[in-house]
Amino acid sequence: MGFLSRLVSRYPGWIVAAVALLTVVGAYGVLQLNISTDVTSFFAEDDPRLVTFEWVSDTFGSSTYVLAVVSAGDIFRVPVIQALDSLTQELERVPGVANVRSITNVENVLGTPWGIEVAPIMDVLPDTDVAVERFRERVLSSDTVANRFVSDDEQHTLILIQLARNVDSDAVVQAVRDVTSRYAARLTVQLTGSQALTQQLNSVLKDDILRLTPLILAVIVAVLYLSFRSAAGVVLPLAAVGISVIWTLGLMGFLGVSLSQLGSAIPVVLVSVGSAYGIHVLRRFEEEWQKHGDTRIAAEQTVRSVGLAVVMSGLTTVVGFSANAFTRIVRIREFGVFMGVGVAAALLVSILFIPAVLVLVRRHNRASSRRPAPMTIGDHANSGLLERVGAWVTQRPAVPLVAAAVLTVVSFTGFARLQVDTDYLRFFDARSEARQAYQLVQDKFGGVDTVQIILEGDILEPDTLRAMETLQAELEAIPWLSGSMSVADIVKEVGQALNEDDPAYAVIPDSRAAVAQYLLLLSMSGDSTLEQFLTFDQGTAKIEVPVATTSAQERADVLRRIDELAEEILGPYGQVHVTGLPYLVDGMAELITTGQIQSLVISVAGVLVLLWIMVGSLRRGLSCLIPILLTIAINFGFMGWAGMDFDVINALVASVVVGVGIDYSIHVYSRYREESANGRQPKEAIVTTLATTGRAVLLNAAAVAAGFLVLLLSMFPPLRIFGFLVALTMGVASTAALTVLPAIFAVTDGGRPVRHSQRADVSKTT
Amino acid sequence: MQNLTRIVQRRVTAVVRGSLALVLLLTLAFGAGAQELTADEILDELEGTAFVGSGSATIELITINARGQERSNRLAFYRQETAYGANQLLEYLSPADVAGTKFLTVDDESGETLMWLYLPALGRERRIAGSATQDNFMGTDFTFEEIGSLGNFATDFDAERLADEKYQDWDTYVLRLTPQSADSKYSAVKMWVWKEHFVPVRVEFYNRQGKLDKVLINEDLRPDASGRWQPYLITMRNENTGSRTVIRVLETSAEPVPDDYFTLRYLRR
Repeated sequence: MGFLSRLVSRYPGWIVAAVALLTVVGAYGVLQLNISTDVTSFFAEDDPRLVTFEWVSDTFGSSTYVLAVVSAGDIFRVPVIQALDSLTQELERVPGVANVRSITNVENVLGTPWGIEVAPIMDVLPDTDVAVERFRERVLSSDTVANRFVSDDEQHTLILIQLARNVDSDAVVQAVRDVTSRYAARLTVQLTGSQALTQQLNSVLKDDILRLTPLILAVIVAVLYLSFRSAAGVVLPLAAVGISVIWTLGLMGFLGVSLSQLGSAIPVVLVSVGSAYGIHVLRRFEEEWQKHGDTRIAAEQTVRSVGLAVVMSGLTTVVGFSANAFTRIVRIREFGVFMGVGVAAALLVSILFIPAVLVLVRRHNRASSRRPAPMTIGDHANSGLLERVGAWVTQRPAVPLVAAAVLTVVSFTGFARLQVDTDYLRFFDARSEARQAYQLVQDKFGGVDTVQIILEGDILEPDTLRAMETLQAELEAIPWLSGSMSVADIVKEVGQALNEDDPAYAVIPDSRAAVAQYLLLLSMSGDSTLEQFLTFDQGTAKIEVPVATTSAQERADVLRRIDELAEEILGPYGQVHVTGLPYLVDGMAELITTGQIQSLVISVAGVLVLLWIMVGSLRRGLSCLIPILLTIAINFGFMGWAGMDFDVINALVASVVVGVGIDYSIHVYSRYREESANGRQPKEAIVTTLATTGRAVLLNAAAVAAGFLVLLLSMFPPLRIFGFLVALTMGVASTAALTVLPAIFAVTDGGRPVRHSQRADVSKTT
Repeated sequence: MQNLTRIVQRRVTAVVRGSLALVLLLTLAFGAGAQELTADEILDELEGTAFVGSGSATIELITINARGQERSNRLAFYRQETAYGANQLLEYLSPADVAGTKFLTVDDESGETLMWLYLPALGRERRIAGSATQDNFMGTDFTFEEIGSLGNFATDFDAERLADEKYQDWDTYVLRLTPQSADSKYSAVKMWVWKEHFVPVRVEFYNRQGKLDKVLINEDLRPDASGRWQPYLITMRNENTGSRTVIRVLETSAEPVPDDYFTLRYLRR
């Protein structure tokens, strides 16, 4: 600390210049920042689930479509069909769109007196009621077309839009949206499917950042103004967090890490958490300046005295967040690591930059001309109340301890009710178009997301195809699964078409040669569907089945059943792989439960080690940890009892609790030790601690909570819950630090004055 | 139903016509090395060599999709000039599963083209009839238009001669062709023609937006049995999708094909 303090007093200009330069560089990095909310981006590149998913997309083309749901009272009417036809054609011309399929251009294998035909089911655009009726009959007579494109009530029809590879899918989806919106007067069109959902998430995310940033700044400005009532008091801590946000986002930009729906919380969390360091430094500087009347000495003293305490409380925060580096969910890992980086940056800037600026700016000012900064509002009222709390805790330490024990037990019973849900749709409001369209496709067309079952083997062998047929029948017997499609269906279709459309011939032929010739005929007719279900070398085939799940548990059960059936029925015929978006979503749930428990344990252990080093006693360190453990228990218990599902975002609450909440315990403990070292009895020390440091802790918790409550205005429901839970846990953590922790001191130290080791000076934290 | 039948017929005709055009393509081009030729004269040289007559060819047809997956078929073509036009037979030789699959076309005395398809697995032939479209030929990267037009550059395109270039090892004439028909998929075609034997070695097809759409590359140039220079390795690359079609000419023969090849009896054999 001595080195840093001399640095600040001797070279303030260099420090300010270096920070400014780094900030300019960082700002350039921020401009490189991409936004990405794709579900696959949550997985590590070498995660086997993702590897299989990507392999299947590479082999058979993307399994994800943009789905446009067209709704009309009755779709089989002349104006609707005509609008649908022109919409389909316009969509085909959108750059970046590879393929568009609707009932107006979908091809179908038909038998003719001469042979077979792969032809559009709509040969001419119907312009009379009679022609539309004929078209309707033709569509409904083909099961494959009717099931995929027309709802049973004939009020909805789908347009399947497949994007080209390696295009900016957001831009293409936006172009598609522009086209569909031009048809608003003629058709009701809603877009869904993972690419459309991702595009909407990304655009909502941008709006969210733009909207929430000024609000969070306003909250922090208010807190700072109430604390200092001076321009410098507002500007300097704000500049410190602003600079650390720019450095952090800039580093992400340079490293090519894109901003996810989790990453968007980084600035909010950083501003809330990081401003505390600036507050501590600034307050101490004002105090020292009053004392010495010289900015250089004040700066040196500030860094020397408060620096270590701020660094220590900051380090626990860094450890708390960085523990997420061990999770396998990429987005959570990034959040943890970059929060750690951001907090470290906020620490560094607060300790070096703020005093340096003050040295430069106030060099020629006379200290005596200034009045000490007023203390925080509500000083006296709070102090009075907190003193009474302190007295009460020392008299009846059993009350908070028993209350804590009871709350812990109640919380534990809530754990059992916790469910993990990683449904992508949680990021959308129930009323949003994306979610409603998704629900509509699920209800009317059997689901948006598909599971792909891949078989590597001798596909053309009739037995293999019959096994695929059997598997499909077994799968469709499961609720939530319908409308499966495979090369077996295609072969049967050709068989029927080659035999005057006689359904009796819609069977797998008996010889391998017949299968090969059917498929040769089909590929010569220019059919493009085949390639999506069978590789060119005819060694790998795909069965695709839409999954209409309504809950995480149902989905997990269905996927497990698909796994079993696929292995049991297809296993004898080759190598079986199962993948699809539902698997990724399900896999994420598993990563969260195992990964988050693991990183929580790591962060608690890391913080405990730090505490042990800082207070020089494992027992004391554990005492400081108790309020945090209680808060974590209450967090999960509350979520369980309130029926909140555990998801990627609120999984982070616990690490915020560990990282930020521990500061309250540290502050309370440090003051208590300082008072004890000054010879006070434990009871007296506790009352004084609560009256002084207790106020600061409450204020800090209130400021952090206020910052997080801004997230209630987010457009992402999970972020709203995240904001609420962090605010709640900050309240619990600070209350526990002010009641349970002193109660532990009162019980363990009893009436004796306490001897403490003097290993680290963390006494002047607040 | 009438309508559907017509569409089927069109499709299969495209296949058979395509096979004819393919033979044309293989046998394109030879001629004397005249020096200062106009664009049209160069095209005429190509035109003048178009294959008419009787003969047969065996080729390997390799289609490679955008994902690099390959499919290979070996095919035989037979052609015979007749009083009413031509008889043609296309037969799959391999892989074994599809060997024996055949298409037969016969121009009859009324000027109609009769077509039959034979799948060995069905054990019977089916008759089909019709006209051509822009569809892809046999699921390859060639469209009928591209294959067919190679023999009709002089009539279907306005030609302009650009500066000569050295293309790989060949001295070439460079032509820029603009289709006369507004229905063409293309806005321009650029062609490199080997001066010595009038073989196009590279052809670029530009779409309506002026973007390079497809590239045809002719390689392994050598004289056939009759002394005509032709490519033995032909690659059509689709620049949009990344897929390719490779044709390897295994054998050509100008020997007359026996009459009984063009009969239903042979089809079923």
